[in-house]
Amino acid sequence: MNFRKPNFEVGSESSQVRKEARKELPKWLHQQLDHHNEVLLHQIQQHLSDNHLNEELFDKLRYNTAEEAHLSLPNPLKEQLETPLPVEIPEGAQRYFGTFSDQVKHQITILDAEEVISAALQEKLAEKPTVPAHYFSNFADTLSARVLYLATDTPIWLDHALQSVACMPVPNGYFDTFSHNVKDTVEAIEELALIEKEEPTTIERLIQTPDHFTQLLDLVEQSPLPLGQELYFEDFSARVRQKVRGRQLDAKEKVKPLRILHPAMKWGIAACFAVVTVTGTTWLLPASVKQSLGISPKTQKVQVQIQGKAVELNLQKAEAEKLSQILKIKAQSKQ
Amino acid sequence: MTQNVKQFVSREGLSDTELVRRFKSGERDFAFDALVRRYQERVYWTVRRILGSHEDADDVAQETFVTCWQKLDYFREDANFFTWLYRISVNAALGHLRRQKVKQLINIESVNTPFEDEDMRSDNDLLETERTTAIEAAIQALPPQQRIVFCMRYYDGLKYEEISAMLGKSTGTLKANYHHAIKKLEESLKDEFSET
Repeated sequence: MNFRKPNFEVGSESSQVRKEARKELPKWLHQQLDHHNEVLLHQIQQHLSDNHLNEELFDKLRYNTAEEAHLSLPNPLKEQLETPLPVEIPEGAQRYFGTFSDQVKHQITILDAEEVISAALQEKLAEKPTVPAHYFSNFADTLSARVLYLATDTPIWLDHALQSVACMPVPNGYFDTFSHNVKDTVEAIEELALIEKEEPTTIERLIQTPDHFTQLLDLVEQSPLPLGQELYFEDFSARVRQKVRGRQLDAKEKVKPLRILHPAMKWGIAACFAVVTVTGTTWLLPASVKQSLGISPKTQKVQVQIQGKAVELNLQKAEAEKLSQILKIKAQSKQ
Repeated sequence: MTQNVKQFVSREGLSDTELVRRFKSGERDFAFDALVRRYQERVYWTVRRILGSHEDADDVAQETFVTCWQKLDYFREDANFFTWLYRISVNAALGHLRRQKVKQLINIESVNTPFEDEDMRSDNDLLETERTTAIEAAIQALPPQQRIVFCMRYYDGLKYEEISAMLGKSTGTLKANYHHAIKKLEESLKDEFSET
């Protein structure tokens, strides 16, 4: 069933239609239905006065708005970064771009050093670094790629960083805003890269350092977020906290796995251990012992002369045989 | 407080068109709150009759207004606001029914009754409750399309042409739906109300 464009107003002839509709029903039925309707109306009025639909509704609306903003955070930044730059830079802005471009190049060098930019993008950057418009387009690509890459791994910090960038006021026109955003983003990314470098990323690290994680979550929660987003972030934090708690419990369970194993599995593991031990011991036995036990060795010692010195090589059996043959042929040819 | 009262009074005096205009021009909370207050009961009424439970009706009424909030900027005002909102609410109720296909046949005991939380009930109340439950169960036992057509025509007073424009079904089909619906209701309820 698909809705179409309306060409009517609901209820414009409703009383007439209701009369007609009732005619098709026996009297006893429409009397009961109408009576039931009145009871239901009373019930609904009571329900609505007890349940405050619009308070819940506004909470839900704020929640949805925050969620949408959160989920689409990288996009506004991406769009901002991908905004086509003017082909000709206005006079007087050249110097500004020169300095700014140097600063950004410096930042990229740092990021490159941390191997966060793909080789293809590095090449692309190296091709046209002197033309500011191209430079910035490429830089925007790089940054977008980096943002997307980070988004999969470090949601909390990235959200926070992007949140601050996305909510920034626009002070003095396009270039200022752009440079401001890029600088801030680069700083945020640098910070993220540093965190990544110093400590293992993602949830694993959070589990290992719950205090640090809690502090970060608190930081996100205490930040002055736009109106209505608190609810969403509270919920988001709670979900992550719950996930961390779950993982912590999992980790505890894994500490002593044998305790929870079925007895049959324990016996299986013991048997495997015994087989591995016997095999390993056999492998480590000296060749002479193996031969006496009827086990053929896999390696063979070959003595060769290198620069006048006798050197004993321990080679695989096949290789040792080949080498022996070569040495024999060489010796025969000398004779 | 005085300011709040003044604002409330002035808000209540504004037409739907004016509230929609204010919403679009940025006074979103102010205008939307007024529209919700004005229409929540009618929206709730529409979806509650179709869905048969307060829990579902709460969810779908909320969903209706959330959609309204999201789409109001694009509302072209080629119909009045409530007609547009009504369409959203019926659409939301339909979506809900589709998601709940397995629940098409409602257990008579699960249907909400108006007096179920009251401890003290007279014999009349009990009889009333029984009858209400029977009617509710009979309506909820109708297939979704028949139930919606019945509610739209019998309770909301919509013409077949109007329902057809909303549901994209021919008026002939809708007439058949309505006819089958009332026959089924009659069949289900005749024993219950045979004495009356």
